[in-house]
Amino acid sequence: MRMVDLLRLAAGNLRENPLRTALCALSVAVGAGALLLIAAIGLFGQTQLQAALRTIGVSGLTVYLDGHGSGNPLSAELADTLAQAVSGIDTVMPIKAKTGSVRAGHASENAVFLGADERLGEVMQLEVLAGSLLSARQADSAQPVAVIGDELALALYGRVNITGRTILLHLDGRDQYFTVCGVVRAQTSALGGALSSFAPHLVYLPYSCLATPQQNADQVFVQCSAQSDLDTVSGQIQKYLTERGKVDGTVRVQNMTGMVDTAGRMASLCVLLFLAVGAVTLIVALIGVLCSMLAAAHEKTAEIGILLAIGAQPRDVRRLFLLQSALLCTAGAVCGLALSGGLLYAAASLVPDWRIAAALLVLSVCCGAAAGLLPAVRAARLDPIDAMRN
Amino acid sequence: MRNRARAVLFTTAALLSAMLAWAWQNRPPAAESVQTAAATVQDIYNSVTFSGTVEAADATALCPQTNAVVAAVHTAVGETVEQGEVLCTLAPAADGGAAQAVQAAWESLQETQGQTVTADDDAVLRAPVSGTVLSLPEIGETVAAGLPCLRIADLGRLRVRAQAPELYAGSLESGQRANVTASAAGETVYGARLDRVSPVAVRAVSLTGQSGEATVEALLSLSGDTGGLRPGYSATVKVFTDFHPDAVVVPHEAVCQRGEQEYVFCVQDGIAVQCAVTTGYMLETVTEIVDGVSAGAAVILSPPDTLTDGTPVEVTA
Repeated sequence: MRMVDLLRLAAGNLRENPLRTALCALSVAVGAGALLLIAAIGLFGQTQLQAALRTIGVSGLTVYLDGHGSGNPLSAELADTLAQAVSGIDTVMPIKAKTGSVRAGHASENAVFLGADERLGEVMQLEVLAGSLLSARQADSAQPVAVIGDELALALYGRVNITGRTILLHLDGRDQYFTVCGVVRAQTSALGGALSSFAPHLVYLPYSCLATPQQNADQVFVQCSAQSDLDTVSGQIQKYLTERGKVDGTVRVQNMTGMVDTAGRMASLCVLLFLAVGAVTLIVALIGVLCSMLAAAHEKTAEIGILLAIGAQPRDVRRLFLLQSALLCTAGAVCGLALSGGLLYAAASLVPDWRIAAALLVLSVCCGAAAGLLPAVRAARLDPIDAMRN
Repeated sequence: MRNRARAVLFTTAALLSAMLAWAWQNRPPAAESVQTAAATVQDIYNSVTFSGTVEAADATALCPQTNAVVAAVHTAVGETVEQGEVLCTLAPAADGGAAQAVQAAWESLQETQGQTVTADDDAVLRAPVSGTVLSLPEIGETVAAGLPCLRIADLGRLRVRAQAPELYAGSLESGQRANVTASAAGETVYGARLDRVSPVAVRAVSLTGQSGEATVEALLSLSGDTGGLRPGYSATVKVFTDFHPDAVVVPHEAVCQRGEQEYVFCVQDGIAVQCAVTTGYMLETVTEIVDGVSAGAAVILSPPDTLTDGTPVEVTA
């Protein structure tokens, strides 16, 4: 039989019982639509999470001291020797943190001041929106310059670009004027609207404005080379600081890159989990298709017998029912995907990736064909005489 | 014939399409919707605020002629005395009163500065001026020669001794007006005038060795009714350091920055005009424009980064 005739017959069979056809197509639509919703929302969330983690900007290793003992401070001088002493380290930068407030005109905001130097851009992935980061000259000579976040700039001046403008810092009980040399994207924006309103603003100042090279640094940021193993480097850092540096307290090394990667993997796992739940919906729909096709094959026994008697081959009968279930699933999947796509766009202005939709359509059709395989095979094996007699 | 007609039609269509495309490319830019506000005029006062202490403007301290012990006290703290009135009777001090002398010296260092006079008589202490007794020695207390042991002041004239942070010292000048408030006096605001600013800054060092902020001493004289104040009250001083009459101001959102230069976009005949400005003080909702924009100009609020000089704009409500 020609494919066109088979298609016509399959379509006709579906039209004969419109209610059953509609209900089966609806269950397939729900399954496919749910999968599309889960895939689109999950991937969007994953992308947002990765972008947010990138916004935080911290990667590599962070070294700090835990507890107190009798030893040397983890000073900037000691931190600078790390890069030469431990292999696999590209850049090291000590950080000193103090709290205070920032004022400009009538606006005042609490802030955390971080002492940094010209290596800030190497150890933290900061997006510079205006001006530039601290230079070596500014860091060494304790110039009163500051790099602030865009949210703080907006709060103080009502705009992002405020390079060259003066801000009043209240630090260590004293008021000091600083000039803004750069504005970066706020790292606390990664926490989201509500939480970021509680997080303090970060202001980067030259390290020498907050501490001397001999004083204890609060943390040391370490950026490793791409080919180095972070766990090995961590161990070497601990060993060097404890044995050679004889630092005051227990040395702790935190793998920030590993934490970010772990967060990304967990997000992917969550997406896969939700997809698995969605897949169950589709499987349930396909079981419905299977039952429907079995019922259809039983109803058409006499017709199958006539077809076989007038010369149709068993493979034609098989193709007929496979086509029928594939058509049913295609119609259902198309409706479900269209509805879900429209819902995503209307609710969240999200346009799902066309490749995801195409893949789900193909999956639905293939699964539909698989669901129709058993009824097709059974129908094809019928004896024409017994079928006609039935 | 048919082919020729087709060719003519095709050529005409191609030409028309090219002309339409060219016209579309060179179409005038659509007017950008913007919100505006007017540049207004207002007086601007700049001030600095710091803390101080209320004290009597005319305080006189009295020192005994010789080391002595207070035998009798004829008045009390807070009483009004006349000049020449006997306040205390002294008895010669016993030898070995070094410890008491040191104590007296330490206490005298705690007193605020003022005029100091030495008693004429070594047996009695008489009020050197008329006024209110602020402090008196007690009976049996040793008073040391040359060190103040009692103080009298005219409470009708008070002043404030304040410590201005070094950051603001440069903007303080004698003659500037000030407002003084004291939490103990409620919400009353007292007028004052800055009389003197110390030429040196002093940095306080705590007993643990930590140094605080360097401060410059400022003396302010109070005017008007100061009945609600007493010497010793903590005061908050707000000195008006600058005054700009009829300053041009625009909302904060009107000022944008390209590179390091600040600009304000004005609307003139439906066109955005980029004006380089010099800003001054930032008030609560407005920014002073020192130069670049005149009063009454319509300024664009929150100009987008894509807005350029000469762009047609449409003002929305």
